[in-house]
Amino acid sequence: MSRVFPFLRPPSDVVSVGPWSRLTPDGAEPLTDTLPDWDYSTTLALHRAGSVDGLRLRRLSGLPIGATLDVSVQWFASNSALRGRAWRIGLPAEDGFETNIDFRLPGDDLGGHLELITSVILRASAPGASPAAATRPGSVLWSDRHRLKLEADNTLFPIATADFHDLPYPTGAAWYLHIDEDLESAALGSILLLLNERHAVVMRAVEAASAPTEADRRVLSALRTDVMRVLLDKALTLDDLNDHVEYPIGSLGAVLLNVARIAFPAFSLEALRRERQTAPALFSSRVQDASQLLVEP
Amino acid sequence: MFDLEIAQLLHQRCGLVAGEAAVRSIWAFIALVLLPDVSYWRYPRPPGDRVLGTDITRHVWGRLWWRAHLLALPQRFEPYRLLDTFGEAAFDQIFARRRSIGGSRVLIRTLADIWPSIDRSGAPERDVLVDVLKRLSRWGAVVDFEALDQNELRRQVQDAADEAVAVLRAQSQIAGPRHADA
Repeated sequence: MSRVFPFLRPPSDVVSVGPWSRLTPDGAEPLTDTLPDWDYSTTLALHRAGSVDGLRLRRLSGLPIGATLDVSVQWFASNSALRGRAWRIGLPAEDGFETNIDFRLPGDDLGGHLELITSVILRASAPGASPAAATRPGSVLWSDRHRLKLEADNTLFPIATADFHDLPYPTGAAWYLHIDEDLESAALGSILLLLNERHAVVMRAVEAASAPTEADRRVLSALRTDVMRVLLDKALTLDDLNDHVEYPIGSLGAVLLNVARIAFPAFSLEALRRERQTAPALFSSRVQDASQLLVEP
Repeated sequence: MFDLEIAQLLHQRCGLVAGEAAVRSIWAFIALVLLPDVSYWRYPRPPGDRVLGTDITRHVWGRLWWRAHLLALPQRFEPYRLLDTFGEAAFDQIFARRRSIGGSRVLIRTLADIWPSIDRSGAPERDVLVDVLKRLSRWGAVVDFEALDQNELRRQVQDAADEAVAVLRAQSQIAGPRHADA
């Protein structure tokens, strides 16, 4: 159902906008309809170019040249139901006004579907306006919506950052994977990957995980391999973990068993325990292979 | 007072972002697994939505986090000074309109900021608030509040309040003689 506005609005061709792009350290790429790599720590850097006939738009909206207008971008997140302003620029009374929309959108308030609404807004009218023209500041004279899905339905790995100086871990370490021992408890509450805020290389790589540089990719690969290694170590050193037991869905026991089965589908837990004990170097190489350490994407 | 202090504490210390705080099962976990004793002390024999998280606007803890999140000011000094502007029932009116105006933090903060200075001319606070929210929701269909600066936004909210008070006063004058006749 189209919305009926109680004031004059110009035809849609007074504004022409290009497609949205996502800026990454390696350049710009088209903004896709789904961003499966997005999470709450991701800051989206977005861009689109546009051209606005500021004079024609005023005339066809019944507004005088002296009316103050803006081009702005508003975001709306479906799961938090929050909205906010991402970007804004004044629109001069000239046709063919070229503008580059550029902004960064932190992930804190986002989630679910993200709508990006590009609008031309009346900020202040001026004497000489048509009686049918918009008068209320904020009136939307033109708008365009783009909707995208931000996250995959997969559960995110529990990650937190901390200064290791304040924790009982080595101050220079890059990360620490905490795993509890209650196999029946929820895995999401039993596992926590702590990243050391003092470790600039790792922090940079994790913050850029949605659009990593080549160097970041290597760091993230090392991190993935080590997380898998620590999870497997835990699985193999917990004597109570048994691959014939049905652990509750989402429990630590179920997750540890899954990691072992996905990494080494041909091995039983007992065989893995034996190899880790008798040939630790070979076992370590197997983990590198299973986690594809430093393999090109 | 308890609710206001807890709202601030939850918002400052839980480490949740809004996307996570919108997940209802998180609040069910906090109410029923982490703090069942406090939840049932706060609401003895609570209806399900107070603890299960079926409706965050009613949840014993979830609604407090959201109250703090919507009203917290982006400043270091007294960021939570607007928390006590509205009573629980009044804030429920705002939060229940999450999809229309309740999602606009700048609008909610502005409303809370000028609310104490609005001259209601004797009209009941709740009636004025409901009428103001209806007006802002209606304007919000064709107006982008987020595009406005603070002063412009204050004027819009003040306009809505002035109109609401005028209408309510007129209604009470019409209703008065009828009641007298009865």
